[in-house]
Amino acid sequence: MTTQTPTEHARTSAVSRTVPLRGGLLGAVGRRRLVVLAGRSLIFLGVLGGWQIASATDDSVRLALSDPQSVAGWIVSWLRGDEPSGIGALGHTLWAALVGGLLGVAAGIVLAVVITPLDKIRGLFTPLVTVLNAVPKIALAPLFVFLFGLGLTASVYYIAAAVVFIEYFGVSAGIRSVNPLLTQHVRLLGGGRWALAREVYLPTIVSWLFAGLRLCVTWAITSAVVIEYLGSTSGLGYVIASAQQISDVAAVIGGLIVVSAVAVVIDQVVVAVDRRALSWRDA
Amino acid sequence: MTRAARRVVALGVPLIPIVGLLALWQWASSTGRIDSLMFSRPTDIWREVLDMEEAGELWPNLRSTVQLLLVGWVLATVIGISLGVLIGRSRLAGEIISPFLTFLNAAPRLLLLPLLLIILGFGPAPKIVLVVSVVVVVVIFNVAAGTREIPEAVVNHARLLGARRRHLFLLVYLPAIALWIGSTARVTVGYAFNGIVAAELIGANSGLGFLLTQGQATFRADTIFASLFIMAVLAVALDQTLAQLERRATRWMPRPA
Repeated sequence: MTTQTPTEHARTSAVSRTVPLRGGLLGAVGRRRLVVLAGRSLIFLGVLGGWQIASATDDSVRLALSDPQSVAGWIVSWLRGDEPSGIGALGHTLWAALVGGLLGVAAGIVLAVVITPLDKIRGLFTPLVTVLNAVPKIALAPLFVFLFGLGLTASVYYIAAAVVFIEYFGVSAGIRSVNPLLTQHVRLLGGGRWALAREVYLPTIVSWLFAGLRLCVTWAITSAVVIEYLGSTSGLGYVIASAQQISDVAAVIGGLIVVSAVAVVIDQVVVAVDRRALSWRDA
Repeated sequence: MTRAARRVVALGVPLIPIVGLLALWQWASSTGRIDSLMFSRPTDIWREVLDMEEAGELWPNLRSTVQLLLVGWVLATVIGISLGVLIGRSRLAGEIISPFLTFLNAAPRLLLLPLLLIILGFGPAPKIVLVVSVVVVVVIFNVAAGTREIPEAVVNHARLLGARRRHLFLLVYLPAIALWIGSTARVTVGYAFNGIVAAELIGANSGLGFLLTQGQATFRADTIFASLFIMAVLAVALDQTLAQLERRATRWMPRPA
């Protein structure tokens, strides 16, 4: 408090003077936060309430969308492990996403490191990569099920194929973004090929790698669930598919909510890790 | 080298990896190094494409896919612009809506299809809604970013000159947003393509995705690869058209070095 500058002092005293006058316990910031919270709750409750009322008054809505209690009931019983494919299904999906994602990222890095220098020769590989990347990834799912059968192998390869180009383009752009002045400088200081790779290229690639990671994680989880839905006998996608087959709408919606919630949590974790890992860059 | 020769080299050299890969595929499949029943081979796939054309399967399905893709994309863009401007201009609205958008963005929306099929029945409606759901979140984020980047001075200046809300939208926001929509169109159309194919894979009786599932159901690798080939051609064609349009539309802008 003793080191407070005059302006800071003026600000704090101004706040302490205005707060009791205008808003009681809440300052302007607090009030704003309250409005935001109220708005969010209003939307959330509005959707939930609308769903509840519609399903209670109209049978066709209840058949198509179930109702909030049944869905909540399904999620609770799934969390308890009462459903035939319980928590283990989630583990299966995440394991496939992890292995497939890592495989895809590794393949993307290797491809970028090998192809990017070659691509400097008149864009040698640009058309091939463009064509391969242009195929909608979702369309590869039936192909991989056809080639590798129902099971983890097809999932892992499919997920890898879905994320490989994200990191390929990221790392490739990273390699091309390296400032030639920097490489010349390292050479001038007597650095060889190895020093160049370790001191210049590796740090650049790592930061570009992180930039693509968030997209990779989202795509890996989505792809895992999609291929499980289309052709598999385990995992959350299979839970949703089999619930749909017996017209258990509560389980379909419950499964979708669980998948989305898991994806959001993992996405937020990646964002937090990202911020930590790259905090040195902007500083 | 003469000019013509240089052009031939510039166009021809990048084809080497593609032709090489196809030749390798053909050779490995014909000599039994890979199972031709599973992996087919380029000549058989091309013959299958011609067969599809002859059987009248190619063009109607292609048209169906392109139509639904474009309708969905346009709808998503219109909805995305209205919500995006709202979020971009009002920080309060942005703060209120953002957690819902984050949730929607992370949720695997491709899986909404079973639900949409139950609600909307078969036909084009669930497919279009799926495409919209896949694309709209990205458009909202882009438009919000585009709106936020408009300098306050420009807005104030327009106001000072007597612009009303309507003028502001038409003369200030819309051009800025159009730029963002255009520059992200290649990505969003790619998303839309994924959405429409997903819809056709799961519950449809037309479209390129439907051709693909037919190949899978009858265990015909030719049909699967031929459908994928047609999709790749369509995707590249769409992408190149958009790139060309973007180059045209932004010709007046100063190029970044």
